[in-house]
Amino acid sequence: MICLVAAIAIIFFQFRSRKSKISWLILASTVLAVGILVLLPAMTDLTDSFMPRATSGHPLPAKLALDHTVAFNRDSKQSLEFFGNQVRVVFPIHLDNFAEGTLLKIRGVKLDLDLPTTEHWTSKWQSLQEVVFPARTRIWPWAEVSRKILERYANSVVNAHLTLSVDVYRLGESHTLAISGNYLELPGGTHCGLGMQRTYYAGACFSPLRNMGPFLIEAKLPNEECQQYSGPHVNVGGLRLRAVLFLRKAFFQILT
Amino acid sequence: MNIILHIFKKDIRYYWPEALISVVLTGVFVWYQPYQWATCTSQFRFFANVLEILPLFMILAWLFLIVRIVQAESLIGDRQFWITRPFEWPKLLCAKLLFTAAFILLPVFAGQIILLKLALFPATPYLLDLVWLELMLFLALVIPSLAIASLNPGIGRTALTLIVLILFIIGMSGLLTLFPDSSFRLIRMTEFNK
Repeated sequence: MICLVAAIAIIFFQFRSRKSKISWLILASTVLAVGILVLLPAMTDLTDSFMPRATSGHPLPAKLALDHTVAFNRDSKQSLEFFGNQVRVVFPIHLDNFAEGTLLKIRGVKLDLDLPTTEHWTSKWQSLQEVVFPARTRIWPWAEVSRKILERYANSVVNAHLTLSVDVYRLGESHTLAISGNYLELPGGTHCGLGMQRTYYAGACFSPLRNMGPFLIEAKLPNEECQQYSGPHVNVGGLRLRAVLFLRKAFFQILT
Repeated sequence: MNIILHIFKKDIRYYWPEALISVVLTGVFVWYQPYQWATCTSQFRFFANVLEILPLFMILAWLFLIVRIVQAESLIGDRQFWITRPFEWPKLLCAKLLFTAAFILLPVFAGQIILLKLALFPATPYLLDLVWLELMLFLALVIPSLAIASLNPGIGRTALTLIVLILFIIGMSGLLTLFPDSSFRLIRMTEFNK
């Protein structure tokens, strides 16, 4: 918006009076303002204002807890071998009391460690993309930890605090979709052509200009015990190719 | 109105090659879209790769066209021939806007209608959305390009200004990498503000 107002002002000044000094001043001020606006949120921690914590009024629709039944035990003589300077540490999280008609999308993770030396180490926010469906009982979020930290404290007891950034979706109206041949029509006028790609079944969806909101497609397999899901996909819009992948999600539940 | 049309016709006479390139690129974009939908691999990989980055060429062509027509009547200094003519600045601006509408916005609008038809959607219910899309294109591309063009006396200085602006964006991106989770926080903040 700042850039647009500045551009209109520059056009006005140039066409009206051809006073380029004022216009250059406007351009320089705009560049400075944009710089400040981009850098300020990066430098200051405004996390709580745009990632509000779950409250009793707006609780998380599922109970998440560290799953103590799962342990990655190793022989004490066995040494840990890491590759690269960042090591991915996976946490088994047990899911319980998943509210009906909701869906979670994990967007980020932050790991804080209280080291035995009384130092504090933080992974800072790291991106994570994981959709959690109501049927799930366990998730495996991970954070990248500095290799030096792991090498030094892998055999020590360390207090860890894992914070997840989660989007909560409430499932709305549901529709029954019928696939005819390799063609699927979604509510809202979206057309999808389906076909087998190399290793997965995919759909190319077209929706005319207006963006569709997030949606979830559930397909019952011939084997009733397994289900396939896709999405949620945000902003399926425009006349652009949008792929919908149908992947078997059962592997997430291997250890349940 | 006569003055506006007079300037518009003069610009067509002088800048028809630039305008033609812009329209042709839009046409190629519309022609190529259905091939992208089909996700089939082209035998001519080089051309397919070039066509993948066609939108970038289109934007550059539009920017070049706008710069050329705006700088036809230079807005820097007071020694230009055109300011001795009975031109009023709003009419001059209108003529330039009419040119961008005719050779950038209108072809894109027509192209969008064709694409809707090709994707088996009726165009009429989406006319308002198409107009909205045109408005976005106008605000996001035409207005900033007009501003940059009006600030500089020639194509060289315009290129220099653009290079400085691009370097500024690269520099900002570089600065952001100093804060490890800045990109994550910026994305989340943008989503939250939506």
